[in-house]
Amino acid sequence: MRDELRVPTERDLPPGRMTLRKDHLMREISRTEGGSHRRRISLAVLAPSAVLLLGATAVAANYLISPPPPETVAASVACYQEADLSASAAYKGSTGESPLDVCAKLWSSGQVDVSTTSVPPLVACPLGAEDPGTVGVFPNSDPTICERLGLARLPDGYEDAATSFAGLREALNERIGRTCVSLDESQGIVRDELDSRGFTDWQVATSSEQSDQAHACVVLGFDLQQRSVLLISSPAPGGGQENGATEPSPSPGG
Amino acid sequence: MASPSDAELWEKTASGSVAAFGALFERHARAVYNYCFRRTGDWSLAEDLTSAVFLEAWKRRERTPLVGESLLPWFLGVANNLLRNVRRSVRRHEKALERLALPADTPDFGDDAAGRVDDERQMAAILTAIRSCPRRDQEVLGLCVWEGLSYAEAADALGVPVGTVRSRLSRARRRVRELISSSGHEDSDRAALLRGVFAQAPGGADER
Repeated sequence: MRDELRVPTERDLPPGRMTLRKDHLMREISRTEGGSHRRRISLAVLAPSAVLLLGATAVAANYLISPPPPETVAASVACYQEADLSASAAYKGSTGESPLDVCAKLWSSGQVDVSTTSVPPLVACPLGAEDPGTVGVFPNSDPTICERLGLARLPDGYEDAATSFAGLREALNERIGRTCVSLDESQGIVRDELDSRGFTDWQVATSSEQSDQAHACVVLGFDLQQRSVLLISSPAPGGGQENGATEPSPSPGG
Repeated sequence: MASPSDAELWEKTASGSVAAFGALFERHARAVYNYCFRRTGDWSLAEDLTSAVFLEAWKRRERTPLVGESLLPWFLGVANNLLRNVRRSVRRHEKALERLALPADTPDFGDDAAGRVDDERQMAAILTAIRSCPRRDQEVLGLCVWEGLSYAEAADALGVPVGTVRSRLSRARRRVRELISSSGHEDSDRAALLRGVFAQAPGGADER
């Protein structure tokens, strides 16, 4: 009885489970924030009216003006730590800049591998079905690394496609992402931008969760595979954020 | 080559470095995991809560400056917030946790399993003893006594003044002693429970 009343000593998770938990965390982070877009829409409901993944980190998206196949679009870049698809990767949304340059910058700032700021030789390959719309950049000097990883080579012209998509994303960010825009107005804006930029075969879809009067602003999502822009209502500013955990700052006093 | 400090890793994390955040996970996950276990008495739940803590921490990275040298107090503060409503917290991260999808051959606890069952039984007894304390007092108990944080670190984690931490801990100790006195435990068991509850020396001395 006495022994049962003592605080148990600390335990580790078995090494395998710790690795799994960490890998899961990395995937979830990349999924919701880093621009990684696995197979479906990647959504990050931030503040109201936030565009999905603002600025340099954006959701991988689908397509553009004169499409090469979607899987070759560098709408998102994954800078891998090793030439291994199961390795950790740092994700960035494309701005049309060469994926090799994007990753070289991340390597040089220690954001791919915290233990070094040296930039290794890099090779870019479309991740294809592994991660549609994302280009993987791997540290390797072997030009056949794409084939060895079971990936295709990048086609000519993918940079133009990436630049076009980056322009679309930025335009929508400006018109919808930075202010609270209603669902009706958002639909018009998105259709206007898609058509004017040659994304005429793209659709505008709305989330099924919506139409709550209190949820007056819109968050955007991009679905590569469906070639659609998804509009999701989110709480209007000051409407109260759904709250699980909050900042660790409880009310004062005991 | 020296390991990067928490400050260095946090700066990179705030800039969006997933790798840096992964390093912080490796450094602090064990402490968070054990803290969550001691507060819940459930190893499996503690594992899920640990994932939830780091998912929440990532979301707050840009607006959370590092206070002090270690991020651990802040991670434990995030854990505290989640522990205030465990069901809601787990539900909030339900989809993410479902995607964890541990494969069939995931390493289980093996020989450790029996010990973990014992741990849960032990913690259940202790948590029963302290659950009549106000939640805020339990938090201080967990941070100062079980995690060994100083008053200042616990104050940072909870976002309250140091004096508040002291008074809550003092109240928690008194309350536990009252509970033991009223429970009819013999002196030996009372002493053992006290030792169990106050197993680690806090950053401050015993309060009276």
